[in-house]
Amino acid sequence: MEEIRKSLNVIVKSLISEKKVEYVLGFEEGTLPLKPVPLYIEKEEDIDRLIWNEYCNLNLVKFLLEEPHGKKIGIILKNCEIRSLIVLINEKQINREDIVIIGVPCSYGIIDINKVSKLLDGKEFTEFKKNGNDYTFKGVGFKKIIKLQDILSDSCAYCKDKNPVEYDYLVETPNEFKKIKDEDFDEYFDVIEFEKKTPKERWAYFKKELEKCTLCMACRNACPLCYCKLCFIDSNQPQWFDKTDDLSEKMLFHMTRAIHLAGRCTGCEACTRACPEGIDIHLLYKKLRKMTKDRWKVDKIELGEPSVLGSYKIDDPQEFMVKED
Amino acid sequence: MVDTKKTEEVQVIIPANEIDKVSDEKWEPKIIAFLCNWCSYAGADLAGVSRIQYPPNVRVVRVPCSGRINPLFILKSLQVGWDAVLVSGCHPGDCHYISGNYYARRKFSVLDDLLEFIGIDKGRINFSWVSAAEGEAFAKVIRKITKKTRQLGPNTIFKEDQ
Ligand code: SF4
Ligand code: SF4
Repeated sequence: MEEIRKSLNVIVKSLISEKKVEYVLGFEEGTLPLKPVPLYIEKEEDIDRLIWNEYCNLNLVKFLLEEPHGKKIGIILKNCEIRSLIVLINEKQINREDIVIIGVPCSYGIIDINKVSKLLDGKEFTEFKKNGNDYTFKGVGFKKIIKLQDILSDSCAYCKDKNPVEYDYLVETPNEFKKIKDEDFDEYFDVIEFEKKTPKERWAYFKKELEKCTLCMACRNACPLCYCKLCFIDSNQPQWFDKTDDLSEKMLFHMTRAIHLAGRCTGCEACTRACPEGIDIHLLYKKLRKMTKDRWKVDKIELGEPSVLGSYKIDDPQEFMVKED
Repeated sequence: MVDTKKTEEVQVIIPANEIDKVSDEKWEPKIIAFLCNWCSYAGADLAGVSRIQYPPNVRVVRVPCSGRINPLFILKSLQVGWDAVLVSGCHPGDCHYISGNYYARRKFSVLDDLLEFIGIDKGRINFSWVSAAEGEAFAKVIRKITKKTRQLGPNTIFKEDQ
């Protein structure tokens, strides 16, 4: 990680000093442990605060949406986030020329803070230390060592797409990264496992999970692809949503949001990590990613390609249609 | 504008403990059908003019094109208590707007797979292609769906154990 930070320093410094961009978007340490906050680097002296590690857990692309077109911005991104930026470029929300992408290869992935608090039984930690693969969490009256594998985000654990596909500057992959073998696992392993359950079990799982949802909209607000000025949830003419905490309302929200993300979600999992209730909401979107791959052979989102639901083939499968006999 | 009288009729959500009472012989399935103006609606019209008999359980909403149907309409219909939903448009290649039904087909398959994934019985959501000349086909589709819905019983989607 230190190597990456050093090369980032050099790139960001040159961008700022040569005035190629108005600012560079990165991360700095927040006030709480494991909760970094976005850092806008406008001056050279800000660069020292820049961090880059396995708990930079927001998708910074979200912050680009508020900027006007034509403003030059540098941004430090991993590949899943670069792909979500590509979706926004394809959808004409952001101009490619405005953004200077600093691509960083990803090693293990990002820590899911919800998994940490589950393992700590909800207890709050005030300190943590890293020692190789072991993370030591300390709080009032307890100390616990957790392995990195146990707290990685699910989509990172099954990610095979770790090198930036689109960038202006690329950070060299440090030697330590290359040692990770590309073992033969399936990218959609968790979805496939889940599909093996019976419909009853699947429903029971989603019912149990979504009953916890408080409709706080943190998942929507963390997702860079949810950029509508008026979300269907907030619309009151027509009012789709009765703003009660009935399970059917939560289902309606999550199903519809999943449909809106079909073929667009890139699996950055910012939504799941943002959820205060620890709901693994990303499983739905991952399923739809697998579905677009199986059904329409559209796998990864590439620059300039049409969106999945905004295009069609004449011979798309249609086995679900009612037959008349 | 929404006709409030009609929506009131729709928004009868049956409390869980009353479901047994409702599901005796008096219960009749209520089916909402979104039909595209150019094919399926005309097909339903033809069924009417030709006096083809089909169950009276279906209420029709006319939309300009099957591409106009937002999956949200379907989910919302089920949420407010319709027992089944039918979405019908022109056969592939016959769309009045050239490609609306191709886009619709993609949206429907997403909805279909998603509901399957969360373990909901898909029998309540039906998609079909019916052209303006197919009055008999429309009647057949309605008969089939009504029969299927009758077997499934009152809608408890998103509320109860499936
Ligand atoms: S839905 Fe979640 S995983 Fe997908 S792009 Fe949005 S924040 Fe990332
Ligand atoms: S962040 Fe979690 S609790 Fe909030 S709306 Fe999303 S799923 Fe529900």
